[in-house]
Amino acid sequence: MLIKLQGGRVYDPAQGWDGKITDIYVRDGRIVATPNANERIDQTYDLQGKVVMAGAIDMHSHIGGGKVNIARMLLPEDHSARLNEHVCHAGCGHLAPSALATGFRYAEMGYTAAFEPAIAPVNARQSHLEMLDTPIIDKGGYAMLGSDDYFLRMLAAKRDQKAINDYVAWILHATQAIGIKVVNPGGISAFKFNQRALDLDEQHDYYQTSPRQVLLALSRAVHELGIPHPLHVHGNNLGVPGNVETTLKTMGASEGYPLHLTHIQFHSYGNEGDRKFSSGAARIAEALNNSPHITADVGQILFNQTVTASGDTMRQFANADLASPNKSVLMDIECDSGCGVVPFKYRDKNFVNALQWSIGLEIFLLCDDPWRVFLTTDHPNGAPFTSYPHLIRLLMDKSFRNDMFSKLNLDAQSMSTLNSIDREYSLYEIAIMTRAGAAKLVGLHDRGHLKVGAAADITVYTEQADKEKMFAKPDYVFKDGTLVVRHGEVVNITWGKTHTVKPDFDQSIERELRDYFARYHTMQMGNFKVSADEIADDGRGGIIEQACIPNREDKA
Amino acid sequence: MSNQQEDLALTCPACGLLCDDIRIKQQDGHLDVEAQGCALAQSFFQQSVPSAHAKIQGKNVSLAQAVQAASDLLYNSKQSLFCGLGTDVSGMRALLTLVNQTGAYLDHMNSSAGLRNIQVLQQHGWQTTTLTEVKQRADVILIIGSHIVGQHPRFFQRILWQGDALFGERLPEREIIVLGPADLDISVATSPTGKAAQHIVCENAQLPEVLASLHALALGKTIHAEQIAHIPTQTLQQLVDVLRAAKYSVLTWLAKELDFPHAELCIQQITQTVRALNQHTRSSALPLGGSDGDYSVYQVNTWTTGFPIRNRFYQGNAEYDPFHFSAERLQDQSDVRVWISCFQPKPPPTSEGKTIIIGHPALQDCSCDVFIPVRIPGLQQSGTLFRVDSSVSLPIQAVMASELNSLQEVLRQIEEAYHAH
Ligand SMILES: [Zn+2]
Repeated sequence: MLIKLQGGRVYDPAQGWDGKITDIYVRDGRIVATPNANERIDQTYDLQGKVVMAGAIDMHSHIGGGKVNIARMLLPEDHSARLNEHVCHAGCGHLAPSALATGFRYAEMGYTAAFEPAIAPVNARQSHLEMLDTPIIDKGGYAMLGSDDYFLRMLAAKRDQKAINDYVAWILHATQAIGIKVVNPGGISAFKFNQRALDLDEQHDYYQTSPRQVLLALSRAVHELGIPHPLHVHGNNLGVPGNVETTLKTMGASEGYPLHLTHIQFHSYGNEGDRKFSSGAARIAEALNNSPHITADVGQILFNQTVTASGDTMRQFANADLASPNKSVLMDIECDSGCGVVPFKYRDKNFVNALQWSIGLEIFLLCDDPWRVFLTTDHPNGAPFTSYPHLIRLLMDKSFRNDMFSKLNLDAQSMSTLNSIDREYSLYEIAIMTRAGAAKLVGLHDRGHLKVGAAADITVYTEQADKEKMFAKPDYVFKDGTLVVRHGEVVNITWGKTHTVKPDFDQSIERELRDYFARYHTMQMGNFKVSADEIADDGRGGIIEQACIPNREDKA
Repeated sequence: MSNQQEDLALTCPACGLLCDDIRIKQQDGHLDVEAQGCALAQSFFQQSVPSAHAKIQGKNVSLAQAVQAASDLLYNSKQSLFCGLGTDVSGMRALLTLVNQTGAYLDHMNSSAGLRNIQVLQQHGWQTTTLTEVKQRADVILIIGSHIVGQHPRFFQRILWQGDALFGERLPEREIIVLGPADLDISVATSPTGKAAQHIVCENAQLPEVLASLHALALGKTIHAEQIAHIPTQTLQQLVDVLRAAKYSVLTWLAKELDFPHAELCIQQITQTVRALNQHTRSSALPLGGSDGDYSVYQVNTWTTGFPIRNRFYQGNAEYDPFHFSAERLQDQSDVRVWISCFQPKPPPTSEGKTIIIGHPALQDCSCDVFIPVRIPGLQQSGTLFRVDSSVSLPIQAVMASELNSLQEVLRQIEEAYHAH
């Protein structure tokens, strides 16, 4: 089947196309070169005047795994709203949508992939089970390390970097992940030993290791193994006024190895002013602009009810008193990790929340390079992912943004420079942040662009002055060449695949790991590992292995 | 990655601990639990499974006929009830696909106990832990209401004592305190090194009062009464002192054993005590229990519908009501009842309406309208189960051949026949 997408205005930053009017051909799920004149075209879509981009990629969204399911279970009130707009399998929810609703809502907005950023290795099977039940989109995840006993023990024993690399690679295989995440480096573990805070150079009471050492060892491992996605870092001191200092120091902690600082908005707080809470956005943006080895996603907050779900038990415990409604779930997990789920309501008349909103937008607008800053709400922590079209409008429409700003808590307005920033994102820049840049960052070599040979994940919009409307309801969405959404509604249900990396490593480390599980744990090593068969799910799912290019030589 | 030697050990689905170190010897089609097994594991793995046939009104029929009869009953039903639900992750996924088409009430055989915990979670949240954390970190374990081993025979031996310590003291040296009835034999909690558990006698009927007082003391309040339900207040104060001095205490209970009205309020007192203790030191709750795939059913249902259990599916929507949608209340209101019990030959409660039984081959002598035997998960069918601490899930294996289909395959066939109407 040969499909022609005719005459659209194509924004494909990977090829430098900034609204180029051209045809795109699709065959067997892939983008193909212009066929010979005598080849029969089975279907033509006339896209004159339409905006064409690759399918969007959410590089950080909590879509599957233990804490997401806890969030669902904790908030039955979130699921009681009737789902009547679709003939749809039961299951809905807004803040923590069901697996099925997650796939539908993403596809309806033109997203064709989303990545679960916090797979607790011991919980990887559950993360994948939930993602396997998430239709249409591709998925994948980052395995959390850095508070697991095995790693901290290696670090404390000063094991060599090769041993750490082998363990990191083993974890990627065992959890079927595409990247490595560290959450409050060492801090989830420190909380189990009753430490209530941990700064970058503070020692873990038991292992006598610092977060800085954790960051250096893991970022170096990721780099040397050639994992395309840099170490994904949720830093220390999330949400703490003054944490901008920690974040600036964190940028230097990897000694030049690439780091991705996630939901950086939550880590960009100063402690100036009457209320000892201020914006650190300008300093963060300047540091980002000057640090080519650093990337970040914003984790924008938007005003409404949401639920925060994080691996950061230490910080979620501290935030549990702010829960709204007043209930929260905290868990210590298997000498491996932890989680905390705290419902929260952001209000525009609340000083702190209003400033958080401004700080996120300031970071977006003050960072020069859209290839290194990514559009997220840290779903559902800052807001549910369904608010992306609204966020895009805030970035693209200065007068809309200033209108919103003028409604904020007045003290917060006086502490922000937001309405003095004139920048408006272009469609090209949005395409970088949500497509080409995101694919490059995650290491999806055949996604996020429309070059010949790429997967035919394509979204078609009608350009409108109201960018929220435009991005909320694409005309067409193709997933691997199949039309899955027409006029913002799902017309075909496909199932997507799971993206992974499989770096080489010395398999003999399993001897030590097997013994470790048998002696100290309550599960055998063999059962910890998630098999390819499990992801295949009797043929409905499947693994895509993205390439790694090892860098055993010294860093640049 | 190749299968290694330890992968030959099996995972036992008989209780929520999912012990995955069970060694089995296979001889002439018969399995023997060689090592690590408890009584529950033995009766699961060593059961002799009868050869069973699909039946309509007690008469042998082909699978296709039984499937057709089941789908006819469901098609003509005004309100069906799917209950029992003794299945694993795959079975539950298939079941949800079917009930989304047919509409139905849904309830699990263990949900009365399960919902005591879930209601506490949904109303107040909680702070919990998992089995390896308990093994490696808990220096004081307070067991409330029972001694656990009836439900989890290997709880002490495998979770608390077996293996080596990651942090400090040898595992059998930790403190175990049982707050429970006088007739409990707590010698089962004496460790291999001879360390005996402390027994604070408290009948279950007194737990509400005692746990409320424990919570108050943990908050630092003073209680002026000299006794709380025949327990000297001083004993409770000493208990709180021990919990406060602990580095990481664990408070555990079996919701099934707390079988009295408003037991969820008792559980809430436990979880609030944990919360109070965490203001100064570390403490976690550990709700125990589980069998017949209950935790797996709650998990799959939650990521599929947003709700744990006790649902109504109606025109593609799922509703949740932990009170009104109980199978016990609904079984006489529904005209067709589908009873599913794959792990054990547990028969359904008697009922007037039409009954379809899909499950363990040994259920074949139960009287019902349609019977379809299926493979036993963890014995004849591989799959996945969630452990009692919910964070961990494990593969279960097929080690015995079977001529039968899996539950998910039978449900798929029923769905197909239902669509053909
Ligand atoms: Zn996140």
